[in-house]
Amino acid sequence: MKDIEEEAKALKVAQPSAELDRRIDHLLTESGKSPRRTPLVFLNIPLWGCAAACAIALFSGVLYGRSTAPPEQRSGGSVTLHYTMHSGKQSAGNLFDWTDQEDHFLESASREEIRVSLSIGPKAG
Amino acid sequence: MADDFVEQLRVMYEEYRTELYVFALSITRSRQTAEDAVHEAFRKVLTKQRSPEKLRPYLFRCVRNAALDEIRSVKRREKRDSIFASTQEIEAAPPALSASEMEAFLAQLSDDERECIVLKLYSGLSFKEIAQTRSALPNTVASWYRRGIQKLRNHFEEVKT
Repeated sequence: MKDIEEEAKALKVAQPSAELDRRIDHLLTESGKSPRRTPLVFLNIPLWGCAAACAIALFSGVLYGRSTAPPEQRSGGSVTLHYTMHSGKQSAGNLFDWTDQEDHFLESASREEIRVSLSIGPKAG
Repeated sequence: MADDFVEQLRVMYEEYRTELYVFALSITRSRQTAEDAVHEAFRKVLTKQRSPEKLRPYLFRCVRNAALDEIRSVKRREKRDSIFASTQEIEAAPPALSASEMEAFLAQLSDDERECIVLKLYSGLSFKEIAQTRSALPNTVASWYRRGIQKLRNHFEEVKT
């Protein structure tokens, strides 16, 4: 006698309708025609995102520095980029004094793993 | 990348359309709702834009979630369609164990046991893949399966004696 497990396995199961095939085909075809884009382009292009953020920050920093710093220090401002990994690792770098270390840190972090914040202020010293 | 993923999904659908549908049907118990669940699962997977590491268990997991969502929203559970082919759809002589007997038995099992049996017997997933589908340990799903099969044996031994 065949084992009950094999008998159960041998039962013929129901089949999906041709309508479902058509619906899935339509879904896949339409999706292939116009692939969705991630709403935030920067998320897909981290270097562009960083470059744009740096440019905005520099511009803002310069303006802020000029408006708030004492007259003798109005030649520039300080812009600090703070970044935090989800692992908790944190670092910060002055955008006016960007080093290879910060570049390396940013490049090694995947775009989903990093959170970036900026603070701006008058040029130190 | 997106086109590759769409093509991958198309291949997966062609290969596992019946298995995905039967799994959804075992949860929804309604053919129409099961088809809606499979469709919804593919729609959601397409929004991901990239292939997960293990696409097959991931798809089954999406179908499960979509099927559960469907039965919550549609409340069609009272309508009970069988996961097995109707007698008109069976060309060869039916096996010793009838589909209606198996259907009635499956209805007595817990959700975990029933899903494991359907995924193992009718969708061809390994315990490891079922574990990924259910977010459980492989040993756990294996014990759900064995418990269900043991109940099946006991049930039919009782019936025959």
